[in-house]
Amino acid sequence: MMKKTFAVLLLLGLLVGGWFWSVSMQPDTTLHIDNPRIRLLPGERPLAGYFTIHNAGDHDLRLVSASSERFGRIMIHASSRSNGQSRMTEQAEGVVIAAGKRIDFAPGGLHLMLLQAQQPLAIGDEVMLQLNLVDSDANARSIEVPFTVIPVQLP
Amino acid sequence: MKQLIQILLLASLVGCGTGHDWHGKDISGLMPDLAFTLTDEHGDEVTAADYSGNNILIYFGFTQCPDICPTALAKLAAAMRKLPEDVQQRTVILFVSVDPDRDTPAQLGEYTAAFHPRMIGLTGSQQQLQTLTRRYRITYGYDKPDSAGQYNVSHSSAIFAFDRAQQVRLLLRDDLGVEQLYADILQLDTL
Repeated sequence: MMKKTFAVLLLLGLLVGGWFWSVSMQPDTTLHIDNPRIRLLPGERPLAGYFTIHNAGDHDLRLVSASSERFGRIMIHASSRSNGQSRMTEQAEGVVIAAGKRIDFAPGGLHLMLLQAQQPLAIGDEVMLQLNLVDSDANARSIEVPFTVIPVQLP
Repeated sequence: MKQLIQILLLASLVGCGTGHDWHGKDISGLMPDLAFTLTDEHGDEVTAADYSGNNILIYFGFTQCPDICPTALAKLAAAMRKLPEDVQQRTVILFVSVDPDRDTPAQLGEYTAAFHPRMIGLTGSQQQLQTLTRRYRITYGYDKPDSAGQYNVSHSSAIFAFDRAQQVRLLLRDDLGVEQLYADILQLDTL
């Protein structure tokens, strides 16, 4: 009797564990981040984080925020030019990555503005950032991405 | 027909009348010669005359600018490094901060050193900055600070180029590539 109960519990455990693994532990194959990098500036200045995000799934996604233990604050920003003036605006609504689309966060355009580095960064460091997204059904989804610290000087 | 061809030929000659093929916009004679009084990275008062004899590239920005300014300055610095050593030695990049509250001379020195030894940070009082920006018909402004006191600064996106006689020559868009900036600075040096 004991044995049977144990076997049932074990089976249940495996089933639940398997389900849990299938929803949360499987590698995300529909969202790709390419070339994640942070451009280093001297001193304690706001830095820019860049990457390419590719939504290979069939649902639109919205990048709503980013967070990291290494920065006090991260904002999604867009630089723009008009009438010879440059300015920067916070993207408070986030950025939509439509199904099948690729969006570049690149110099002179969209970028993460990283404020209050908690400790000095050095070229070549890897810094984990969490990108927080929601899909069209308001399901939240986060990914951890290692950003490489690169020099401001062009090669 | 022959007349038309002559007119077209003449027009094309006028079109490149200066004999220069710039990537930037030729603004020779359209704006006044260089003049300013500002403070340099050492805290010393400087005027345009202190840089005479140099090809001068001026960019307006602020050092708390994470994206646009470092992008433009890194390209200018890369273009500089491609130039022959003697041309680099008679060329300066003046980075004028329009955010004097945060950009002290020491801050500017730390910042420009990350780009190129011939890049010099300048700033000044609001009056000095306004005199200079008005002279070149550009503006700058400050957004409202957020709860953390962080604020953005809007500024001109172009680079102004002056020849060694301090006459205005070019308006270089900040989306030009390193090769294009390099070619224009090299040509500026021949004027």
